[in-house]
Amino acid sequence: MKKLNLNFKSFLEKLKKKEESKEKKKLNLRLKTEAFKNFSFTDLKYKFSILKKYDYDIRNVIGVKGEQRYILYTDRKLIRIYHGKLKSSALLSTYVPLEHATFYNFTVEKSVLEKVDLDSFVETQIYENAGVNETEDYIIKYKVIDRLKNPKQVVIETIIVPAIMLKNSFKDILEETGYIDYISFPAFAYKALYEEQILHPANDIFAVILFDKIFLTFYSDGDLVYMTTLSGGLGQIFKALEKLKIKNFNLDTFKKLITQKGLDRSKFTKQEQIVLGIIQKEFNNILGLINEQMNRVINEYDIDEFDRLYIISEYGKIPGLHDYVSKYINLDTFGFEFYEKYNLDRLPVDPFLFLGMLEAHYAYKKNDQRFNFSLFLRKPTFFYRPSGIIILTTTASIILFSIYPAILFYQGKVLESKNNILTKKKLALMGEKAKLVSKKKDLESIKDNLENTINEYTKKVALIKEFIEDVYKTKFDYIPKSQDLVDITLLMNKHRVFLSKLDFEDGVFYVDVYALKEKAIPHLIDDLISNGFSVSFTQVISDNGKYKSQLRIKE
Amino acid sequence: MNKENIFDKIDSYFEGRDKKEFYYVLAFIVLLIGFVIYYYIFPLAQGYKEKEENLNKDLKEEIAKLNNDISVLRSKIFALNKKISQLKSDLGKVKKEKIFYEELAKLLDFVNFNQYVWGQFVKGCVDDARRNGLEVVDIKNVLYTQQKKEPKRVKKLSRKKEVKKPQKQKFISKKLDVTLTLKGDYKNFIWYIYDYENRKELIRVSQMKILSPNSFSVTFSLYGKEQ
Repeated sequence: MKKLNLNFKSFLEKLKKKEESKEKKKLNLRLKTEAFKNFSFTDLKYKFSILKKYDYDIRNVIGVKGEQRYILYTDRKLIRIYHGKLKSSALLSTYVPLEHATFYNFTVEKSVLEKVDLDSFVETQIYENAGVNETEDYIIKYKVIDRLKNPKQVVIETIIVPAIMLKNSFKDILEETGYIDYISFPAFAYKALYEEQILHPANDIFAVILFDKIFLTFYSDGDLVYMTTLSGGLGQIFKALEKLKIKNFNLDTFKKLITQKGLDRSKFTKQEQIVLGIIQKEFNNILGLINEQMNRVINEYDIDEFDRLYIISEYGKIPGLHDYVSKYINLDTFGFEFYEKYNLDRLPVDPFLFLGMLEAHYAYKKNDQRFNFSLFLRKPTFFYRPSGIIILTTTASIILFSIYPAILFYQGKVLESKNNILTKKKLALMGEKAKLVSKKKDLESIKDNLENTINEYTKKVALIKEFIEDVYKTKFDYIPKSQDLVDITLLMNKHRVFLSKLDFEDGVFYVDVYALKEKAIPHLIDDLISNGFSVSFTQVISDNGKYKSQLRIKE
Repeated sequence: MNKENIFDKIDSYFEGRDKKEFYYVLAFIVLLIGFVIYYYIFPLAQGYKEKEENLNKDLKEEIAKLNNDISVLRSKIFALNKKISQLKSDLGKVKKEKIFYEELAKLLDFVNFNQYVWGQFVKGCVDDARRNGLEVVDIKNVLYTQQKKEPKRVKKLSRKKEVKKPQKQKFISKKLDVTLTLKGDYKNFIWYIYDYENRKELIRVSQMKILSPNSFSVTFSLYGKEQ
């Protein structure tokens, strides 16, 4: 049976986890959809924030207190549970719980303020008069209030928080992020309600009832006037009820009693009326103290009356308290649910956390860090930090000094690239030249061969011509001797010259002739000469009636 | 807290220090970078550029020279091609001329002299003399060679041997002298000589004698080309 019960429990747990994760997914989707719908160029500006000094987006503020993590979208007036990383562009805020702070105020002449360094003056006053441990470090935030009836004086309201508390109380956050953009204190944070126009300026009292203290803050026209801590609180009621010796009555039952029944008469039975009576009586004391302080402020400050009272207890809202208080001190009384309109999901948001988130937004918007208790502010973006500036300077120096060498190198590179092209071109030209040289050589060889062939042929032709010429000359340079002989014979016959002997040798006819007439031989010679012969002769001899001679006839 | 990185350490170092110190560090960094770049890197870049510049100049000069060489070569090749085409044309002409002259020379093959021609010529001289009514009383022949001065061969009808110098001609030279002693009519003798002088063969009468009205002597010189 036990086993079955365990299985059922684990099943339920799984189911619950599944549902939770589904819820988360739905929520993320909704947020993304909303973010898309609400996209603007301002979003874009924040996304590219590398050149800004800080990379935060002041429109969104994450508030952290213990396990509670919320994000306030100020532009959309919306508050959500925050599941993302704390280290983000949204401002990160938390607050100093009231119980960790000490309130101290003092009056000072206005003329004095003009003569002193205010920070040192306030610090000195605190260490001398506020009863703080002089060996301890404190973070002091103060506000000069010029609302006293005596116009020559001002009040300096101070909040003193031990530095060690600020260092230790937010370790969880700091381990995750290394910074907290804003640590607010509620007394200063109320101002944001007026700036956000959640409250219209009036004379207001903000009362927070803790177990052993009551914190009162007075605002007039949206500005802090006075704040104080009173002894008393819920512990006073607890002690009074303890005296009734109710069975099983302890702090838990007291808390339940206060938060569930409070001062609502209808929730108490007849037997419980005595308890209600005690609670009313103790609340009367508390309200008496508040009333007393209210009157004091009216007496001392330039304020005639108060309009509203905002009251809350350490345990949260107390049923019937507002009606009871409004009847008792005749003021409009309200709770601390300032974020009602922002809280669409009805989340149980700590009102001081909401106030802190709102204050963080306005402090960064107005660049007013006077009331920021954070000792661990977000570091500037990289290029605004010394390391970033060194890197930037180094990079800029390298770039600047490298410009000229880089130009030279670039020019060299361009030349190298051109040279590569030129080298390729040169190689191509060398190749082309080699081809042309080879081609020229081939052509020269062809030319030489052709010339040789032509020469050979020409020589052959010349030889043949010469041969033909030789033949021609041999044939036609020769005058036929038969013709000469016939011519000579005909002429001899004509002149009746007779041949004794003829000898032809070496182109010359040696002709021995005789004639019967004296002039026959001379007439023959004349005729021979007139026919183109070259004739020479020896003398013509007359022998026995014959005239003889030897002619030498040349063709 | 987040673990500090080098940048956080630098930030922490300068936190709360005098700003002057930070500016000195920046100035030192700037000077150091300037020194390193201009002492070590700048000469490299400059050297690199100069090297490439010189190379570029050399390459341009070489390319210009190559371009010039190539254009010279191209013009030479162009000229050679032109010359070759001219030569080819010339060769064609010369070939044709050669063929023409060779053909022409073939027509003159009768000038070729050899033993057959020699024999035929000597025989023809005798036969033709007889055909012309002449009696061949004697015949002798002298053969001329270019190498040997001695007559190579003598026909059977002659016992005399004579060697004479050949005439000076490149191709055509005297190859043979045939001397015939004849008897017959003068008219036949002249006709006989006329017949031989009008033949296509290169025949000349180198000697001639008329001893009596019926007795003659004639020397035919046959010219020709040694084959």
